[in-house]
Amino acid sequence: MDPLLGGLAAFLQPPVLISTLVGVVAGIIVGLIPGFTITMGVILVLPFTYGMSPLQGIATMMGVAVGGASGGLISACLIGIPGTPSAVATTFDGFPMARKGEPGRALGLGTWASLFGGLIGWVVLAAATPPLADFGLKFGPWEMFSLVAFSITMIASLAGDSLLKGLIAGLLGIILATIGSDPVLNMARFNFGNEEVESGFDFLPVLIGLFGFSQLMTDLERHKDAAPRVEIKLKDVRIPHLQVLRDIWNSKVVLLWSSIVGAWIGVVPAVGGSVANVLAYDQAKKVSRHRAKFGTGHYEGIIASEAGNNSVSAGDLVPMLALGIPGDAVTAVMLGALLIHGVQPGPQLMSDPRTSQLAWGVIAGYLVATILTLVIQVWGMNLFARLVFVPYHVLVPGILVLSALGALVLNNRVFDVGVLLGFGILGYLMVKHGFPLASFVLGFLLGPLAEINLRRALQTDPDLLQFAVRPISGLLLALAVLSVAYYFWVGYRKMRAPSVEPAAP
Amino acid sequence: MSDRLIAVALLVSCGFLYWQTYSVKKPPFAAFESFDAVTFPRAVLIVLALFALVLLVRGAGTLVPRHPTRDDLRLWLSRYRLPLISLPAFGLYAAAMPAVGWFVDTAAYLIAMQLVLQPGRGRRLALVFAGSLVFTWALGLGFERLLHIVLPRASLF
Repeated sequence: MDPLLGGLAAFLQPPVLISTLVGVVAGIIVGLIPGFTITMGVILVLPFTYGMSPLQGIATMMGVAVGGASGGLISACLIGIPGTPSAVATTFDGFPMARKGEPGRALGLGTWASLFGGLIGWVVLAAATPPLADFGLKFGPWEMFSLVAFSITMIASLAGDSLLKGLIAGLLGIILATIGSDPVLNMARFNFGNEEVESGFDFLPVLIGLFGFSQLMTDLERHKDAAPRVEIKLKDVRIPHLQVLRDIWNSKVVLLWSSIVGAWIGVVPAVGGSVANVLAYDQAKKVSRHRAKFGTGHYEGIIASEAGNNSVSAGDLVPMLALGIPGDAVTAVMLGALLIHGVQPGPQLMSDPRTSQLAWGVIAGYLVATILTLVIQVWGMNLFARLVFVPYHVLVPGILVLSALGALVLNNRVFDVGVLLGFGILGYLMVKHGFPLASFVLGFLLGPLAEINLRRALQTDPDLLQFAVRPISGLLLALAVLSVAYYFWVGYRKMRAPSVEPAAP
Repeated sequence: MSDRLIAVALLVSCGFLYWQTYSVKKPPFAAFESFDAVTFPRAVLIVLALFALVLLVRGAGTLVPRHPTRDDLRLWLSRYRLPLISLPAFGLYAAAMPAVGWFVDTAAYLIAMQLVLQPGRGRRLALVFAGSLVFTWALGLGFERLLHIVLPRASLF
């Protein structure tokens, strides 16, 4: 309990708290604008965190992540378009309820379910991170290499439609991370005599290009044929808190189960909020006594969806804090930010006295950010509801400029803006052709870790069989094989049963 | 672009990078090290090339798309018009930054992009100009004064 209280004390310092508050507001705004993802929001605030302390920087980004996870429900309920991919299932019941004349109830259910989902996710975060980090301390180079192999295989089999394309994307990420110099002997490789590439591509311009730029280009394609917007009278947007809390009390089993499903999905590397959201909704339908009402504006549908997508953001932090493996793209950006601040995420983060307060600060901060999200959303719901209608032609150029600025100020060189553009084009092409970006990013981020540990392992013992016979390493490799087998099993089941009942209306 | 084309591009890139590994120097102090700077990239390139080959073989079974008609081209252009304008515009923005400086470059880019995305005149044009200038000024000053980050200055003037 003491380290948690220490972390909470560190987090409650006014500068950190104010940064979190700003982050939550930014997150809600990014979350409610259809087409803009939470990852993009985290990337946009990143340049503002360069001058902050590590905890303050992470607090700002966590505020965006937590606020964004909840903000997506506003547009999902008011216009039937999810603000973020992780609010897809909220539209199934949130929009019908708003159209029936109860937008305030729909928004209130989503907001309060986000709080409870976030709190349950936080319990998982606080309870699972320390033992997992302790377990991670037992890892040698064999285990670390196998963990990277497992993570990349897992993401390749779960993040996209094609395992082959997922693996190709992961390997492409690894190979592009080798450009610059090798991490052990510091020998230049693949830099083609260009001095600016000698230290390789910085992670952040790559990430901004892949997720921010490619997303904006995809949005621009749809700029002309945006879905018709249903005007809901904003004066109707009043949250009936007592009724909402009664609804939530009546759906406690659905809430608990959806939150657990969400948090568990978050802990698994690479499976993000969009999967958690739909899966939590689907699971809620199975445990509910009113399953026929799902999709018609039923309160349990909103509760399940929002509890699921908020608890997932807590689960995502578990592998990042405990093992240094990002749970999703948002935590990958946070991990990159920690590296910029000279903090090496990994099992030592929790045990090293110099960094343990930061790790516990992040855990405690998640709780604070979750509560702040509720307060800000309830207080400013009417204002946020109006922001749903801000036009794209104003937003897109501004966000492109902020993205460029984020890359530019990292090393104060225009070259990084070029890197952003290059990886933005690559990301856009990858999205268009079904190559999952998450696999690429994980490969790019973890490639050097894999190389260093593979070399260390082989220098200690050149026997390759060690990877298979050491218990933890062998287990991780077996899990990697199982994740591939799972992919084929799911494909086989789909092939056998072509007409599956849709998960949502 | 079909998967086959992507597979070919990957195979060519893998071959080129593999060939490039022969130009990586080995330091004298690591002469006896079996796992040097190129071993890992080579292993990854071989596996990547194998997967690209599978993609190529798998794609070979798919039907060859019919020759695009004028209407197809028109539809394609209509769909990708804005990304096709935005990508080079961003490239130009990045390339012009050292010459004209961040402030002028950013303001000009914001104005141009907003007008490309939503053409307008009269009051809207004035709003776009004013909004872009204020946004650029506030953002630049915020970074320079509050975060103490100096943004690129113009080399031309």
